[in-house]
Amino acid sequence: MEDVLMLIVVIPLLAGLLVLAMPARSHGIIRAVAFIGALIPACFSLSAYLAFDKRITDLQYPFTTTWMNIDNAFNMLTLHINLSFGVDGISMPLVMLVGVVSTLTMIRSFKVTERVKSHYFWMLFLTMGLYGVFAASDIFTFFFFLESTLVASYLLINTWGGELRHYAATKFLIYRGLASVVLLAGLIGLAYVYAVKAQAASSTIMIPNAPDFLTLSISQLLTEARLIQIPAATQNVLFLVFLLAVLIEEAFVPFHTWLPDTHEQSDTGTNMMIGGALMKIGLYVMLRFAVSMLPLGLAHYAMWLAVLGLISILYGAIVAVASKDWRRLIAFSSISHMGLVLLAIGSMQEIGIQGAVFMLVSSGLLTSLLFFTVGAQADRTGTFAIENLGGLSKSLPVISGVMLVAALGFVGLPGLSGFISEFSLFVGGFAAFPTLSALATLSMIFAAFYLLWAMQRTTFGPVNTSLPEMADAEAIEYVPMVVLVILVVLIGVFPGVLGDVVHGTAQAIAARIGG
Amino acid sequence: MESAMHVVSFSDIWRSMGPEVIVIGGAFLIMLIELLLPQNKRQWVPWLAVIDVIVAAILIISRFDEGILVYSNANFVVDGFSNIFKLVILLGTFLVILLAIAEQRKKALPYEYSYLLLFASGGAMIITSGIDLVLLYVGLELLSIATYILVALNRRDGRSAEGGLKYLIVGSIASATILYGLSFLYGVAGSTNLGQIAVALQNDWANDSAILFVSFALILAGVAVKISVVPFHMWTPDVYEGAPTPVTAYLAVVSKAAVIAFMLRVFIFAFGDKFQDWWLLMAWLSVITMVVGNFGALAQHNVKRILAYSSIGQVGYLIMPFAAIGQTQNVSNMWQALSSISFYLFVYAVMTIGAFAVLSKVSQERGSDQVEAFAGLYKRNPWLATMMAIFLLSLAGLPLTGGFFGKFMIFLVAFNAGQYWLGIILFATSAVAFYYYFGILKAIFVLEPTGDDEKIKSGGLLNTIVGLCALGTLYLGLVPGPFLHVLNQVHWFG
Repeated sequence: MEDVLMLIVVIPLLAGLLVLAMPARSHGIIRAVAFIGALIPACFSLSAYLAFDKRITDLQYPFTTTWMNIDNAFNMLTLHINLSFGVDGISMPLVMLVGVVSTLTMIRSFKVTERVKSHYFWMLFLTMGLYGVFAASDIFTFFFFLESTLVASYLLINTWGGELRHYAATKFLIYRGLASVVLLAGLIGLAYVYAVKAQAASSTIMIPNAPDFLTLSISQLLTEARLIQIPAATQNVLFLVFLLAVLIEEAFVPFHTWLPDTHEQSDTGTNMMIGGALMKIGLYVMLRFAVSMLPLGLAHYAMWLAVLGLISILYGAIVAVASKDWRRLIAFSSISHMGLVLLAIGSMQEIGIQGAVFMLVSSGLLTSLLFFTVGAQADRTGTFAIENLGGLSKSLPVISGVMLVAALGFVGLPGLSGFISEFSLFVGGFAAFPTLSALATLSMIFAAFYLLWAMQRTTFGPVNTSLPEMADAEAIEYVPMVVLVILVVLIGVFPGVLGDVVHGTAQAIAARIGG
Repeated sequence: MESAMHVVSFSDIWRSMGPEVIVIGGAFLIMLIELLLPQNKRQWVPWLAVIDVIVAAILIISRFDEGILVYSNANFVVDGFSNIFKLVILLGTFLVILLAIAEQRKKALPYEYSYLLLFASGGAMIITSGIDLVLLYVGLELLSIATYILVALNRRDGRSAEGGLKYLIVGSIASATILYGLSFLYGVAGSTNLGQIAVALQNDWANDSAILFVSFALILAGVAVKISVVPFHMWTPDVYEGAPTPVTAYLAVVSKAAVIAFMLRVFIFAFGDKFQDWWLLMAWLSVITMVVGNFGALAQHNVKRILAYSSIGQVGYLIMPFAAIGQTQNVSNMWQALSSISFYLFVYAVMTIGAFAVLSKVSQERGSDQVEAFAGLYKRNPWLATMMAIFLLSLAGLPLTGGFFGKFMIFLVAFNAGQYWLGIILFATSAVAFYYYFGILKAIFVLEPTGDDEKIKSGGLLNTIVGLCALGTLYLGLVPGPFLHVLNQVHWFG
């Protein structure tokens, strides 16, 4: 069990290399290899989830192997860089999310007929990167996988996207490249500050584990964050750096313009990966580094987080109302939902933290589901434009039905995962910022409005006679839809399946930030 | 310092200057052989140069741990610093000669390049060991004069001749400027020896900043031209575009490494703590070089020009540690700065020469240096495409490639010296660089091939060169530890 995380990360890469070795024309074998290459790590992550010890709040399944040591990196300190993995209650659900989304994306990608080999290679590469990002317990490991996702998704958008894909891919690259640069500055600053502090502290008070080297180990940093208080001024600066990185990475207003373009120009499989898993990285960074390790910084900027969150919530929702394209609508709606997470983090409540993880998972599942069904109908009708659609429920009852489930999940229908997420977020939000949270609830009304209205025009209403003859979902398309719907309902009805894992870690973080 | 001439025996020369003797002596020998061989046998001549370089490199490595040797009235020193830089120079020369051999089959460069490159590298090696103004200057001129010819080597190409002339004029002015600056140092110390100059600057001339300023400014302006630091970079894109591609790679890598060695010797060794007055100037030069280089590349559509601008940007990274050296008093930081420069030079050598190697093949086959020429390269030649991707990702500075660690080391140096802002600008300009590097990547992997759908056949030699370069790039990115460890153990200055 110790090596399970390492295997989860490595298997997609091996499968990708295997795909590269295949002859380009044997599509069937390539698809099978890619699917199995995504399925096995997903099963491993399930077993890791089942064996997860809910009482432990530290990183579990630690795997560490020395990568390199750099002598004299900072003032004669040695820098230890490890290839290191480990998960806690925050990252475990996200690792599983990657497992679900990537496996289902591979199924959806059976429909890709152009340049199949490189499509699957980059898909598997992206899968590896995403697993790595969420499973990493070393800053360098984390950053490496983050950059891998950048390269993979850039090429995925660029090759299999819509007409303006080159433009969208470049925009994606610039924004996310900039975000990772800012993030790197923050990460190095964090490690440096803790190293200096720990060095000073170990000479005055008895502190176990205080290193005489510069560590990039996340679990080490988390331990030190509990023991050593960094001065507020330093925390504020670092927090600001992280905040900036997260704002760009997570497409918060005003850095949001790249996300709708990206989603609009990408193909369905890529959208499922980006919307379902990649877009959770920013807030994961927020929780993992900024919130857990810089509590004073968080306290200082809590109000700002709430305000920025509210702006994104309302802006995303209002623009979504005006969206004419399904993919843009989903993009703006996810901006709105992620704003809610930011607001809840700003509240510094335990339930808010827990809700944040719930929302990341729930929105990952729902976004993939929505992108999948929207893509499935577009495969048949050839359009994503809401005004060109109509009456789909007549010819595509199953796809329309599932689409409705996804939309209702977004709206927050009780019994689906969206409800419990929004509920926890709002409980957290109201405890700290009653007025702002009250304003934020407007987004639920907007969401109901734009999603249901779009649904109504797409699936119900008069049949658009210009649409071609269509057949409903094929057997293979049932798999992603059924799996995602089951998961969404499961989390909605039994939040415990997720909450038990998250709870301990959320509690630990909340204790650290005084919530 | 004793004034009596002390007799230098041949065994002394061999012990100290063995590698230089091999390279320059070999160059003379190869020149003769080239002259005497019949035309149809001459294709073997460049291989002799390759062997020559390998022998010299082996000699350096075998003497690596011998400690510091000073020879000939303290004019010539063999220390860790010079050994490391000589290895960079020889590595670059080795790859460039191989690249020239690979390219030669079609374009028929005259075989002169094999010994001209050796002469240039001999000059470069002398620079790294010289601690005497005359010796330094002679080395610099040997390097420069040989490269003037090399740039214009492609006689049938008008652009090559134009580039050669441009480089000759700009380069000689720069040399003269450097010489003018050096003459002040001689005037101050009454000696051409760097050690004595350093003493004079500490004692007699410690308070006369005007003359030091003139001297420093002139030398800096001259070397800035040679390594294309902004605002002395204007010649770079034209010359790089005109020169035969192997020569461009040589200018970008070897010539720069040598001039940076020159800067370190003169600025750090001779000026000593007087250099502290100018760290801010170095910092700003580094900043504008990074900014202009990277933003300049954005507007280019010719890959050779993109690489030219990108190499300007890379120089910005390379001279950043000078600012740290100037500001810090701490010896460990200075060593860290030196090892970061050396590390980056090695990375820079392999990734740049690799990129130029792929470029030379593609532009030969497609008859164009434009980005469009790379369209669909992945379908035409997957091997070259993959290798080029590695070089571009490394140039852009993504993790797991040497480029990331090179930048990371330089970032650490800046961080350590408290120059956070420089570190941030380094990574910010690297993020700008994503745009044009990924533009080439996009052409390779995403765009459909334009025109005919022919495959590009690359010969075994070219495949080997790019393979070696990629191996080096990945090695320095995956396991930089051992190599950094070596650099950390080096006793830099004599």
